[in-house]
Amino acid sequence: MALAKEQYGRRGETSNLWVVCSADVLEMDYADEDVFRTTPSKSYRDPAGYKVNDKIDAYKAKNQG
Amino acid sequence: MPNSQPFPSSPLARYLLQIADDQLVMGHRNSEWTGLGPILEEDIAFSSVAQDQVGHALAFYEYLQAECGADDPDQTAFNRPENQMLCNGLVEQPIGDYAFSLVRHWCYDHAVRLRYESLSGIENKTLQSIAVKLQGEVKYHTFHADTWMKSLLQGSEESRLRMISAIKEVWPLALGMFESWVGEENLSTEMGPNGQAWYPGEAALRLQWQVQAFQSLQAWGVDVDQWALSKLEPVLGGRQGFHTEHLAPLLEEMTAVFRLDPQAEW
Repeated sequence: MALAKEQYGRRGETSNLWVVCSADVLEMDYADEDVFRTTPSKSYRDPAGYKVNDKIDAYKAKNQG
Repeated sequence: MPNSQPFPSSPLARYLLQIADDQLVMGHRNSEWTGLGPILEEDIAFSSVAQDQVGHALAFYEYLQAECGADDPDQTAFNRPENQMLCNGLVEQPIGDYAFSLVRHWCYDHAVRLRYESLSGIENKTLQSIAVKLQGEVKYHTFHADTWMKSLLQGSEESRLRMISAIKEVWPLALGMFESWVGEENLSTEMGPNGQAWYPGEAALRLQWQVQAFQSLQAWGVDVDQWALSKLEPVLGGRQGFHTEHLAPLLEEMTAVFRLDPQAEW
């Protein structure tokens, strides 16, 4: 923990650190990377992906001008 | 020959429509668990699978519109009478308890995996790339389903018995996913780029599916002979437009908003 504080907490604001044994970390196989293939096209899962944002941006632009 | 005959005008179009209708109805059913899942992360994962499935239906409806003379995807999905829907009886069933929905999910997504593996061998580049793209999502679906099947079949005595009971209930319906259909033999003689037929036909897919399913079940401690799974008869009809009594109410609910204004732009 004493080392982790300097390794990871030295560059930015940090509120806590979790340290775990690498043997206890589960990881996926790199051959299964394809399960993430379609994620970039799922913008609808992010509030910024909704069409209504165009209207909100237009409204903001109008009211600023 | 788009538009020269009533849609679906070719065996390929019909086959893709079957896949799309299965995905649409399965996705709709699975989405009924949203907000009711056993734990938050599972609720999100299962809802995400449901959302993927509706997305897969859309991918095929879009292809059918672009290449096979189908109407636009909203019309194809929400504006066909029940007897023109080609989904199988398994996907139509109500969600039941979580054991039933998990076993159905496991049976269904492994069948989809086999269909996409086969479709990725087609000559048609557009369809081939759709199949490859969607395979990544189905890989997660089967991983998710396998995880639950294994955990619950090897969990407590209660979880094991409830899963086995669900397996027995699902099996005849799952076999119905591989009902033979009109035009099937024409599609199974079509060659892929490697000079081999890309579509093995329903009987071969069913055999492949069942062999793999039995291997997994046995590895998880289910005696498939004791439960006589291989002797169960499939529930048929869906591929001919004859459906279980559960499809009509589902369509009624699924299309309710669409029918308020069928021409609305969303």
